[in-house]
Amino acid sequence: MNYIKYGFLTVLLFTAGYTIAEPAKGLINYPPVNDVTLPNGLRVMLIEHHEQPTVSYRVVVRAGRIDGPLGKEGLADLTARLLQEGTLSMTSDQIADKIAEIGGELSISSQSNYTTIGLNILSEHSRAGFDILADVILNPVFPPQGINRVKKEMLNTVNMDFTDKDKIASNHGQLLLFGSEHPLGRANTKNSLEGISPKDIRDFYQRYYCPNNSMLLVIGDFSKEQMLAQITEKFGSWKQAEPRQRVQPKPDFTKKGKFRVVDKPDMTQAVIYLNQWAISSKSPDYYEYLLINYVLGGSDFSSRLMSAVRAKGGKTYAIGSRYDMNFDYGILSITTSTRNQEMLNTYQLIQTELKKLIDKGITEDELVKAKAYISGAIPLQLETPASIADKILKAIMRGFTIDDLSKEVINYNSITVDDVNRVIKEYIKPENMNIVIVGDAGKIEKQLTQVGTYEKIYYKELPVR
Amino acid sequence: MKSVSIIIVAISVFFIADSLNCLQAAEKTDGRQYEIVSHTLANGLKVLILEKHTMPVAAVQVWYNVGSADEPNGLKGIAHLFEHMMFRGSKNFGPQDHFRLIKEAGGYCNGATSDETTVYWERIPADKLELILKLEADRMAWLKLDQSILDTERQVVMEEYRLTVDNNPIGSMDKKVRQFLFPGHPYEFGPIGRMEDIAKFSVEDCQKFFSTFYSPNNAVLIIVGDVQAEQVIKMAEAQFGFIKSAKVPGRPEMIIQKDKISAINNAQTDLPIPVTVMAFYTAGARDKDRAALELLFNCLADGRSSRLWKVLVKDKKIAEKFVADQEEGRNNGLMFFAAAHLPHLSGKIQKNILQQLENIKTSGLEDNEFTKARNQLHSEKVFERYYAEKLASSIGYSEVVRGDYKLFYKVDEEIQSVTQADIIRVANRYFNKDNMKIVCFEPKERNFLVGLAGFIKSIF
Repeated sequence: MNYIKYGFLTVLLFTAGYTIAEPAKGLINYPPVNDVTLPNGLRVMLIEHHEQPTVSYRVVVRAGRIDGPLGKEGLADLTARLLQEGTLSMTSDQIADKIAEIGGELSISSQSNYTTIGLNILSEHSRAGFDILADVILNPVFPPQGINRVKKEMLNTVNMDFTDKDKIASNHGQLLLFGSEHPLGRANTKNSLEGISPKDIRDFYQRYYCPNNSMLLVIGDFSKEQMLAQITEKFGSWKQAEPRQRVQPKPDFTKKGKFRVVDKPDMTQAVIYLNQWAISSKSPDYYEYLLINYVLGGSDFSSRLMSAVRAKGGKTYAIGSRYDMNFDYGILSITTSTRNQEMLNTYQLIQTELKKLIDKGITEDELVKAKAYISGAIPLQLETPASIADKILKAIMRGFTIDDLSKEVINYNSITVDDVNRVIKEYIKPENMNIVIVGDAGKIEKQLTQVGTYEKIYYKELPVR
Repeated sequence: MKSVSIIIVAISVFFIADSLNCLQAAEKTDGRQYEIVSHTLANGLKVLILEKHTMPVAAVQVWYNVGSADEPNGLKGIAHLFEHMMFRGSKNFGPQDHFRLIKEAGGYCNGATSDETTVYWERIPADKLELILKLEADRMAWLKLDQSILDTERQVVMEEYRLTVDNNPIGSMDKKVRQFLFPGHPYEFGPIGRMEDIAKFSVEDCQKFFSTFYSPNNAVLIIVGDVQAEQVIKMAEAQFGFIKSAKVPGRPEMIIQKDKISAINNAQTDLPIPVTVMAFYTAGARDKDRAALELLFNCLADGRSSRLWKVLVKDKKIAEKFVADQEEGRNNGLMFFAAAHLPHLSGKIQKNILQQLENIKTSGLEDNEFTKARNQLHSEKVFERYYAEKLASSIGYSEVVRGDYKLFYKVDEEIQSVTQADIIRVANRYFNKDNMKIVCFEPKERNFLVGLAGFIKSIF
């Protein structure tokens, strides 16, 4: 456990005061976090970090695609993007110009479960930047010309996505997994975007953008007292609201997988995409599952899939597996692309690897190496304030505390090969995997029939029918 | 393991830099001199070290002064395929060891080939430095070139070609722009090369490429992070010192015969709407106008506060999407503006872009545009100081592409000292007819309604 050097501890304490491991125990000491909740319910986390004269703000709002409603796909993303299109006191141009003038970087991104608004700024402009950040979150006006432009941008993306083979594959894959009656099973469409009214946007904003549904993390070169005062000044009077209860997907671990072929003529490659339900981050088997994904396809060139399909097979440029996990559900997916004539062979190679994983499990050597990577990589993950902030926020969104985070390596190290192999047997089920293959169906038809019985859809048709 | 797609150098390499301010700030917190240590081995390998003791992390990069521009005809793509082979085994390490050993150490590694450089990099816990130097030295000295592994990597690279060019509308447009702008020039095919050439590379071709270009005197080793410079020098001597230097052929002078290239070029795209690309040749990273051009580019096209985005997308609403890029090699570069738009609007797009450029040629930039660009570029540089890897890239870029690692200290200062007169001079130097090439992409499948909408917009 030599991932944090002892000799540099004093320097570090002095300069930044964070991230020190106690080698004997494997504990990672995160920087001290001032974790307070304002009376209106806004959770505020402050971390002083004085390496450079910068401040990074992150506001996380628990609102995303999952919050629907059905038929209005794109509403969460549209609402988020419109924050910077005008406030009570600033036009869209003024916001962009003011941020640029102080050299700030404002970023807004809406994912399936959360929306994050971030600002990176030099300390000398921290207050000015913060005021703009607070304004776009607290006082957006959603002007008609902004709505029209951002909608148009999103419509263009819908059209562009029909030329993106990987996006096509994952859109269909999401539908097969979540079904058409859940917001996460449905991609944005022309109809869904056009059907969103200004009132829908304001309602969504009022329901979800509220202090009791958000948190604010600030890391950087500031003093905690002053920062808390400025946050209270701006966000203290932010009004509470009642966000609607989420309709969480109900993973069915026994459901047989479906097989869909998306026909896109003239492709010289076929995309193979597989997915199935995985455990959520609150499962007691969480760390085991992360290790399974690491060994199978989550560790780039060290993974079994990369070794078999690329390094030995020469069948693809990239293959990997992903474990996306939330507090309530998880998804395991595998993606690759290969030349048309190798589609079936590649599919079978993946199946062989899955079967091998289930029948024989992982080895002691693989587990030791995975653990070595996990503990070795910790300092790399905490190199910058932004990466510290992201790691902490992600953990909280998955239901963990900072205390859990500091025991991450200890938790991994307590896992045995038998633990992992038990979880593999319980949850990795090739027969339950949904399969999407995007390609020139005419050219690969014979191979497709050997994969199984499928339904075929033209690529320009909507996933939901 | 990727070929850097757009001309010359990946943006992530280009925009990374640091400043004198950084050194002062670091001195304060660090209590020691924050300065690049340069040491050249007897065999010509230059070692550049920057100590940064804020986290127990190190970034290691080996920059080889070779890229796709050095490939002879018939071997287009060999620099990139060769880069893949560098990960597939040397005398003391097996064909999958490189990635595995670094991963087990908690680190990450990769490589990238551009027109003029090939870079191998690692990000690791600092106490694993010796392992990394061993791995880098072993492949520099004793790379293994095995026929069956070459055949496998050939297939992998062909898949990369299909993935990033054949089945990727943006990638295939990128390739067409190159072919229009650089016919018969070493930049013509880019790092990914040509399929028919890739199919033919032999072990002998790779061996020859290796012995011609991969010698220590044609490389720069950069280490940034929680290391001691003196120890690093000792380690580098021990690991690399025995490797023999070799005579490396110079890169032939690369002249672009602009007058022989047609001003307007037409092609097809898989995208659903047309795209207009306006490109301007620039003089590259070693030119005295480099900083002025970067500042000008920032004002024109970087973000939602930039002139062209505001005019084309926000105010006149004639572009559906607008992107721009600026790329530099040593002595050549390219700046381009690209807009995706409804049919029949290409003329309007061009006219509006030209109008903005003409304005700058006579009146320069507004005061607040200087403020915005300077502050944005300065801020970017301060944030980059957190990342050992970005600092290493910046040092490598300064040394290999710009010609002197000491320029690393000056990037911010150069930007801050750009004047209005510089901007007007640079705009006049580059934004003129002789220097401009246009590529118009039309969608393969036409949609009547979309066309009609564009036609109406083109009138009003």
